[in-house]
Amino acid sequence: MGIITISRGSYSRGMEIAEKLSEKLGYECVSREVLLKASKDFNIPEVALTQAMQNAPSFLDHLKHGKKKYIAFIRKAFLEYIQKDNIVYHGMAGHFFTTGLSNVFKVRITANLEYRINVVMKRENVSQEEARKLLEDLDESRRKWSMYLYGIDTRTPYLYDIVLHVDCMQVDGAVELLYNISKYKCFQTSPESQKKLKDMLIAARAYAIIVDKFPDANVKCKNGVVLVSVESSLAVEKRLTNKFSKLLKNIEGVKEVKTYVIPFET
Amino acid sequence: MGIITISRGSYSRGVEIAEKVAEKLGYECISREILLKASKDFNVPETELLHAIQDAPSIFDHIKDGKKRYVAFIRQAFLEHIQKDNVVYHGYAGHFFTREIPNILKVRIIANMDYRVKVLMEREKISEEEARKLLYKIDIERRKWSMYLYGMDTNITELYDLVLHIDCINADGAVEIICDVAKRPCFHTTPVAKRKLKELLEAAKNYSNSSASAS
Repeated sequence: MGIITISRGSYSRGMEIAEKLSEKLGYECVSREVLLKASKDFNIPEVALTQAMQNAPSFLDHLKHGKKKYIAFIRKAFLEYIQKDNIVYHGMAGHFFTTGLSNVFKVRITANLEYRINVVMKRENVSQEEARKLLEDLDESRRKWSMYLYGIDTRTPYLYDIVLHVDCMQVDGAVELLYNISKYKCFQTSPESQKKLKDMLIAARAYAIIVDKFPDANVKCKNGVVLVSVESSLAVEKRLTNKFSKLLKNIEGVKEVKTYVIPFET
Repeated sequence: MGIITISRGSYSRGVEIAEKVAEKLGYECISREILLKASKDFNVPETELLHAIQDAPSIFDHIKDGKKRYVAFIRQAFLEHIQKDNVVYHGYAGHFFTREIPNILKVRIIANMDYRVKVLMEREKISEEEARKLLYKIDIERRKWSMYLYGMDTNITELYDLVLHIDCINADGAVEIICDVAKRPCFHTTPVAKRKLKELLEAAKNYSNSSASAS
């Protein structure tokens, strides 16, 4: 009865760990499935979503918020997926998507650069120099991505319950340890955590509906009451309130929609 | 048959965790003992050594390398002490001092700011604002210290085998996890690790001697 997210440094054997862990726990192992779901639900090519998740933001992203929109779609698909419970998710952004859900066991798998270089050289059949360059580029791209979207480096340890270095522990050692920890009471799904997850999903669904027009809106939900905070002119407060209510009231589980307009700085 | 270093974010219950781990494994638990040893061996007041390993570098440190000299003394005392094996060291710089030695389990204990604020408020009987301000100052000092001496932030996860966030796991859970990991063969002291430790100690002695005679 639990949800585990595994963030993995590229070429740190995190995928292998996630697969073995889910098998041992009897949980479903999820990664690309979330992108496929988002792609189907919003009719967007999977490749476009992959790029949104993988690449550092471009100049256009800063202007057009394209990346934000796609991430909102992926987040919604992710939260819908994990409602099922008993899931090991490995891949990007799981720890960001579940921030505030303390019952979700958040793991990061890392390895020393030298270890990762060896893995890249074997897997991609490239030279040591090429492997180093590839990893440096990947790490920098991830850093820019998370800084742009969440204002925090994905390597920051505070995002996780545990950070495991696989160099010494190896894959099987890591799996065994994570298996034991996942049984802790604090990482078991409870009625309270399920309620919180449901509210989070409602907010994610609401944001996915309005993100195109209001990429900077802040959407929250508590006990089915949705609060949309948006920066705008006070003159259009009533119009926005009606608009959000009309757009969001039919989302499953929504009891009420409230709008809070933050006046533009004059 | 092993050595564990525990780096702890201030007010993250790292001392308690280190003591319990040592007790459970039957290892010696050390921290301040290293400073006392360095103070005695090099005839430097303990408070000066504490400032050297605790505070951010001052402008004089950049000019005179005084901090570097004192840290070299502490490092030597540390390396001498851990030759005994079966040791849990908690405190400053253990992960930096042992970077080149294999089979040493390097752990970092962290907690969210709100959790630390609460611990500090309870322990020191101060307001939330004062606690937050103090923790912010301590964190900045630690970052500056490690950047000055080792060119990297002490928070970087690559420095450790294991980073544990105790908000959810709690101190007892952390103890259980560390003991579990410490029992694995890759964290048992090997002849290679012992040899490396000896070599580093010799190098540390040479460095301390040369910096002591240069001063």
